[in-house]
Amino acid sequence: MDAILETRGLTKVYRTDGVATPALRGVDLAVAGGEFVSIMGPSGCGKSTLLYLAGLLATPTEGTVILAGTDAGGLSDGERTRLRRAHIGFVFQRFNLLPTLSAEENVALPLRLRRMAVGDAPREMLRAVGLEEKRRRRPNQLSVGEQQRGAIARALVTRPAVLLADEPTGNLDSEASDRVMNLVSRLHAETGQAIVLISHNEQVAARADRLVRMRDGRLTSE
Amino acid sequence: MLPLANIMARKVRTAISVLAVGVGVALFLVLVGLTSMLGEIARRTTCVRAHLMVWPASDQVVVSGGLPADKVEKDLESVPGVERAIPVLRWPLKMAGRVQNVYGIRPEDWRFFAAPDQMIDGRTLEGGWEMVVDSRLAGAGGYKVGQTVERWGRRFTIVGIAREGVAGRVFMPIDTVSEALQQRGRRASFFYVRVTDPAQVAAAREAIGERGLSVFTMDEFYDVLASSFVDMDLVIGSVVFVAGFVCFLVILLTVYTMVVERTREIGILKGIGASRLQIFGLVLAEAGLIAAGGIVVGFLLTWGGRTLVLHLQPLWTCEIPPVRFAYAAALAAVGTFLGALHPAMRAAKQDPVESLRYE
Repeated sequence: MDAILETRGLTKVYRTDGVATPALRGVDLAVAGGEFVSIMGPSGCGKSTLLYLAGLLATPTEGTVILAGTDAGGLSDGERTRLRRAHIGFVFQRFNLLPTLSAEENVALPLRLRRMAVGDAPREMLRAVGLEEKRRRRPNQLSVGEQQRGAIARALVTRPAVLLADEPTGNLDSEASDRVMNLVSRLHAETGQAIVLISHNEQVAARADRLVRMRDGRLTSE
Repeated sequence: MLPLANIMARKVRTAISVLAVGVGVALFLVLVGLTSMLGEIARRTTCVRAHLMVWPASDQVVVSGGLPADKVEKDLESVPGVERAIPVLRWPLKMAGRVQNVYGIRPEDWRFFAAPDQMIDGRTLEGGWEMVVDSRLAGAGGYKVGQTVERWGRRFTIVGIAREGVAGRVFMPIDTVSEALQQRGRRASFFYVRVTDPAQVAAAREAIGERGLSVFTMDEFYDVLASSFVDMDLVIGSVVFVAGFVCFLVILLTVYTMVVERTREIGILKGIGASRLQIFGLVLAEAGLIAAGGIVVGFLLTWGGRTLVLHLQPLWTCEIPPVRFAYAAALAAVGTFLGALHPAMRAAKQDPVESLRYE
């Protein structure tokens, strides 16, 4: 199966006051269309950095990202934004929803940013994640688990080919975590989107088709 | 949707910012309005039905309050084309709490100062210890026809009220003013001169000038008064600068704080597909909404300020031409744009990964 997302020799070195700190050391990872991949590893091993580079939010020091057949290496910032918009949905770990907007307005936002027709899509996505009744609520009127479900709805409303989730259950208790992961698994089965999910939790990571482990900026096993 | 939601999330801060912009706008407009007082005086002074104004030459020594009225009048009326020389003895007099320039005129010259329908109550001057006031002064001082007013140790009767717009706020018979001032003979501060045919104005002007007097057409005299307001333009310019700078600083501080506060939100926005330009536009839109609110509040404050000023000082004039409202709005818009520019650029350039890690 062709890879929808591929990283080749991905290296990232952060420099602060002349001190170089390597975060990624030549990571090669290919994610096939519709595949669900989990990445596990200890804190500071480079998981989030890998996700941000793969999602074109950051540029690598070396190596490249190929997304939907397009090598993002030589692209301008605007071209990278357009490529990300077209193919990527993001779920972050915490404070995911914009606090000044309702759940429905949050879900509509990616459509508005892309100048796409909004219509009933946000409401339908909120129904899919079980939040239709609470669509007018602000994030501070939702539980943390509900906020994450809202964030998943927002990430998927544009029907991206790849969903990148950075520890989406990291701040949730086990019950809320199960509900979110059940939702992710169900939506994955229904929509066939590729998912790359970072987690500390073995049980969460085990839901994926494939589990990848990281240590010290390298993939250690698949 | 998002810009409005964002500024409404911090209602007190937004309200203070809107108010600050509004105060800048109102400050500019009210000051511009108050400077119209000078223009109004110039307009009144030159609204007499005459063609020329004749003053003592600047190097001429004038004694006892003015030119010898009868002699100069005869001299002026001997100039070819001159129909009438109208002497005016102008003298300060405190009425309604403010110093007014009394226009001492011959009663028969009233027709050159006002149309018949401008007399809204009472009658025109006839002679003796009487005065006509304009409606603005009558309103400010609560003066009525038949009322007596004691000035210069004499008791004057108000015999008429003229609609505002006439040259002076107070008119008295010229001989009465001379007598009250204990002058020897009739004196005149200046003359209005009416010519038979407007085509003869230039020739008459030249002939009068040859007599060693300063002579102006009405338009020239208006310009002379206007040119004496140069310093006022400097004051207005300074206020424009201060108002614009206040607007700039308020917006800069507000928007900069908003951007720093929302560092993580900006990271999320970029994560879900916002481009640099969209982030830049979002911040500018928020600043624009504050400015728009500030402009509306500024207009309301201007209305309130003008009403208050005219209530406290009924003899002042505060006319604000509509185009000045457009200038004020443009001033606020430019100040806002400049103030929001740096924070908007900072937000647009913000590294999304750093933003998402921001605590």
